[in-house]
Amino acid sequence: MTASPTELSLLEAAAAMEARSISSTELTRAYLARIDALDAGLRCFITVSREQALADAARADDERRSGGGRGSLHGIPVAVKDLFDTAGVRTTANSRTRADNVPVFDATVVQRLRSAGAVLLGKLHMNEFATGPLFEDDFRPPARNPWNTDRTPGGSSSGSGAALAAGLCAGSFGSDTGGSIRGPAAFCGVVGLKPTSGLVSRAGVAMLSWSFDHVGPMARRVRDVAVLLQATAGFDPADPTSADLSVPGFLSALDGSAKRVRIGVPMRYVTSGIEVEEDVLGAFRAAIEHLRELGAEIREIELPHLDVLDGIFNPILQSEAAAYHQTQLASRGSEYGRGFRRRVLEGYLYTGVEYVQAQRGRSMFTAAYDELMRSVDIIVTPTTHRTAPTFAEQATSARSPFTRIFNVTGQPSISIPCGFDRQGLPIGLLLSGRRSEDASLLRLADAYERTTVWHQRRPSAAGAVVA
Amino acid sequence: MKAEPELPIELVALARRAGVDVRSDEWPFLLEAYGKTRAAIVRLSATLRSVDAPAFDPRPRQSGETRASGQDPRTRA
Repeated sequence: MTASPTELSLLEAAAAMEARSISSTELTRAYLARIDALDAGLRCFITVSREQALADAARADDERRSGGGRGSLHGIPVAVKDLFDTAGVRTTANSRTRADNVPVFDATVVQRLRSAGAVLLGKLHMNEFATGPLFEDDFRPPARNPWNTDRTPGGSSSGSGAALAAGLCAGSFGSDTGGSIRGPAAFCGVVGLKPTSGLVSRAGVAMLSWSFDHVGPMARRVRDVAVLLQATAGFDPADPTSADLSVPGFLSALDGSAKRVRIGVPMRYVTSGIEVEEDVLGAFRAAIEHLRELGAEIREIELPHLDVLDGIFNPILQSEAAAYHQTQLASRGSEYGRGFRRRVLEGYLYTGVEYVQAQRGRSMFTAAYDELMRSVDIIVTPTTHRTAPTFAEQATSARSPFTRIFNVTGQPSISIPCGFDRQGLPIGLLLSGRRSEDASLLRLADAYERTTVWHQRRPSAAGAVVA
Repeated sequence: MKAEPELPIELVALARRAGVDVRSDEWPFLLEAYGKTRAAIVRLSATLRSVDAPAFDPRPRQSGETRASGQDPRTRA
């Protein structure tokens, strides 16, 4: 056992509980103590559900003592972005408009996590309703990046990325409309998966865009993400966009192999089509070389239709967000924060014709990527063009195009750590596969992680508890 | 397709039609964002004209239907 059980990965903690070297109650208390010590500075949690977590942990321990283990998540402390409905626990979406919202039912993801025996530590910080820049006068002020507290952890699953990096939970769930899982994962040096569209239920999750929203797992290791996906994937009649796809064994797919995987790399675009920071580019090139050494076949590709991506993405996202919030924008508009309003009011500028053209463009765009995926198995890019910006920079910093592509196409896409810049900030590598081939994607991500050390580093800014 | 946007009057009108108030300090941000996207919308229109552009499919998706492509991954080799 290490100095603090909060340093264990999710699966390591599960093994320790299985071996009876730690109980869920002990592990949950350790996480709560760490939250008490660090979260006033990091601001990852909007709500800590302390009493419920301890009660759930005690129940998990009782079940285990009576031989009723439920699997790898049994007794594991997790936390979810504050847009997942949680029965009896306040769910705010970091908005004054939902400051007192206490749902009666759990979101399907939360329900499935609880069924698997997970312990819910609380609700994590996010950009208001998952969009817009962060401001100090938001309902809950911005979470801070544990690697450098002057930096943003990214968004919109800001609290999920920061809490995992700081060791304040063993696993998390976020949502991702244009990169909101994978961006924070990259900026915080953790793993974040946007699964295939329809694989994980969105029932009970506050919407931003019906067309592009996904929910997905985040953790410190790829294997942990596979466990969280396994527990939550699968058809849900409560979500009309849920797909009745077969759910393979995600963990058992992780055999460490990268041999003969055909990897498409848009090197020309990465090096000249967009301004990528020098350290990010260096880490990206090294990661490609590493994948080649693992036996993957590296192929140069061109990413189709990037010149029209904004013309597809923005009208659809902003129009749908404005429609979702229409009633409340009219009746309680002043209660929304300025970051949210700056983004969502843009939705009123697009015409119906532009929305329909964007949807037609989406079909064209997706067909082009389907064609591309006939020649490669995985597309690899940097997750973001830069490392975490300061809070002053984040409101105006350009958004990277890489993550959004796969919200439009519905392909699974994962960010894993692949290095650090000269300021000690994490760098993310984005791997994206074919729809419904999440297991193959996880296999390659795990093969890379097993043979690199980036995931082992911990942020010193998270505080003395780490030492 | 709209001509060059005549904003903020147009923005205010559109938002007010929906019962939503837009503050004057918000105009610059919205205009900048719309302006950036506008160029991509024009490019998209040109692209849709130049290719065999797909129809807009407004049917509700059925359970099990794979998003957008119509390709069922379970039948892939």
